[in-house]
Amino acid sequence: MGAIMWRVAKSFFVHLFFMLPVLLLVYLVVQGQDSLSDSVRATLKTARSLSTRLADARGELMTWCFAGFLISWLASSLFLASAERASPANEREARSRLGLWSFLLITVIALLAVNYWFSLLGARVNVSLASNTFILAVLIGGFGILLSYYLATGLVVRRVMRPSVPLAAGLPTFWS
Amino acid sequence: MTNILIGIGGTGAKVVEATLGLFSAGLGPRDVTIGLIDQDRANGNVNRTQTRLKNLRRFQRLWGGKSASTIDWSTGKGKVDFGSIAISELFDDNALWCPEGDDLSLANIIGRDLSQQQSDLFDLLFMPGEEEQDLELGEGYRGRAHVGAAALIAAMLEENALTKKLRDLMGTADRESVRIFLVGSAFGGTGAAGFPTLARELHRIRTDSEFSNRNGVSIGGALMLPYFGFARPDKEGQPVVTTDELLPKARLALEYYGRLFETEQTFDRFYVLGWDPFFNLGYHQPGNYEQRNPPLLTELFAATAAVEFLTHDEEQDGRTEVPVMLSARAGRGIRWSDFPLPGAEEKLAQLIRFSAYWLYLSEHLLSSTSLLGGGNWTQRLRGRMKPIDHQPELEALRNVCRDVLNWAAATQKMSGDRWVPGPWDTTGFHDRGHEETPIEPVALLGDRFPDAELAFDRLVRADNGENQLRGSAAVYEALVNDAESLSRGNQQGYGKVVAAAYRATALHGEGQG
Repeated sequence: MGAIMWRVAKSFFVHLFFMLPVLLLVYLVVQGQDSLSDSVRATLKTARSLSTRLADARGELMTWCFAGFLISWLASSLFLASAERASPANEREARSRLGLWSFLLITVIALLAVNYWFSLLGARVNVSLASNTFILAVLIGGFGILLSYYLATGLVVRRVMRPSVPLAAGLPTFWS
Repeated sequence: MTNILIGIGGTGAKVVEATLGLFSAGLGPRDVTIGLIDQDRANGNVNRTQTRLKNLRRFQRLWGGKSASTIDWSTGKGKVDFGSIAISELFDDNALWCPEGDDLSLANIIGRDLSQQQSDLFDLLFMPGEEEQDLELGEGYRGRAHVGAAALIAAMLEENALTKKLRDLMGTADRESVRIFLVGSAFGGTGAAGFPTLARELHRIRTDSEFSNRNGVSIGGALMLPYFGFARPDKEGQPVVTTDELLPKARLALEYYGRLFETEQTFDRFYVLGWDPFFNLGYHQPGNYEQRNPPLLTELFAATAAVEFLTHDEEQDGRTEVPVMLSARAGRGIRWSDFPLPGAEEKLAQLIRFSAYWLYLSEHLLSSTSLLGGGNWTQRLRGRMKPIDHQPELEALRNVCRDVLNWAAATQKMSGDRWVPGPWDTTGFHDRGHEETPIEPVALLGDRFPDAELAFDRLVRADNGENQLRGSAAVYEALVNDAESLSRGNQQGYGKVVAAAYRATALHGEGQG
């Protein structure tokens, strides 16, 4: 149990390591009033209301990112716990958690999409922000979340179980 | 230090075969010269031992330093115990010495050109006809030890290759210590005749006033009392020894040795081994290839005597009189703790585990690759080497591993219900389609099979009967995590892979060497 907790903690640090710069990047991308869409800028005349709308949109985006990292951390923790309990005696058995890894990856993507639908589209963030800004912010968040999942699983999983994470054999081994 | 091990007769050869197993595991002195003596050149027991000996020698030659794949057998920290004891054969490329030609009989050897008095004495001592005087010696002495002794003494009185070679080895130029260990049976033909005859000849040489290395030669011996029986011969009246005759013959032999030791101290150390109840071979062959008795547990115990003699600390002994030691089992079952040799469990178990792991779980990885080498631990060690370019080395290693496993499997099988719980269990590797015969009671699976990991997990057992906890998963994880450190030392090419696998299969993690 101790080993699992330790790996879960390592996974947390990997997610934290990527989440902080991602949130900062999103914050920077959605900063100026020119990040707002033309229609919003045409509708809202006062600087204060523009700032409020911008802050709301930025907040929704950052919440979406934060939730995505949280989901990814939970998913990676599930994978790591499962891999920790495996006792592979050959490469075939070492690949035995590849299915779980793929399933959890798809789950993370699906939950990101659901959350995108409800949180971002539901709050009309895509309407509030300029399309370029919106797409860039979502891509940064999504990419950071998926990279965190991959590295948290690939770097932290027991070395013997690395065949369960695609292409993880080439990753450094300092945390496995 | 010169170490010589000589197996006399079929039983002696089988003890040498078991000793080769211990030597392969690194139990023994740094180097040993092996000799075999048998009148029956085609004897199956001798042939099997010779094959195993040649396989081990070939393995040592091919992995010993000149090819692209080498194993570190130096005395440094990187040394691998497996195969580290240098084995050589008594004669240049042959270990076997046959006293007489195939078609000779006692009548041909000493029964010709006799005076009337000598002829009468010859008739008095040896039964006329095929029973003794005209018994063809090409298939051994068939339990007629006195016939064999006469034939052997006649052969030794003449200048012969065996005594010439042994005299050369005993009288080394730098007068180094020489240890000679003889092993033979008290109940057969060649062994019963050759064991005391050769021992006395060697003792005579070492006590000769003109011999240069008088105080440097130690002679040890293991006398095998009856420990197996066989079915009655097919034809009545065949000149062979039967089970009923074994114990009376052994008693006569012991009386003979008792009298011998009163007059001359032929042996510096003398070991006597037997087994009760007998192992039943279930067949009988007077000699030739078909006399190919499966290995039996008693021979492994005799092998521990050989190793003990060849490695004991002489200075500690002070060459004083060695006390008589008696040892026997209390129960029926066999356990690791029954072996009277320190390190036997650790090293022999490691050898057996490695042999199985190499044959069934490692060798195939040499020709396969995995993406970035994640699951194939051999990739990081072997680089770009291809098995096709190194077939002789790999075949030699495969043969040694097969010899070890075949010997372990047959020993287990022949032990029957004595094997409770037994130190190892090879049944997971047995070919269940094999039709059991008396000379081949068990056969191993030829290639990889789906449950090889499970079979490996059950291969070696601790004394409480449980499987060793360090199973195939722990071995695999050690290899994936620490292949580089497990292959440390001056290994090259596939030698790194072998060293890593050998160390990883140690019973308790990283082994000694």
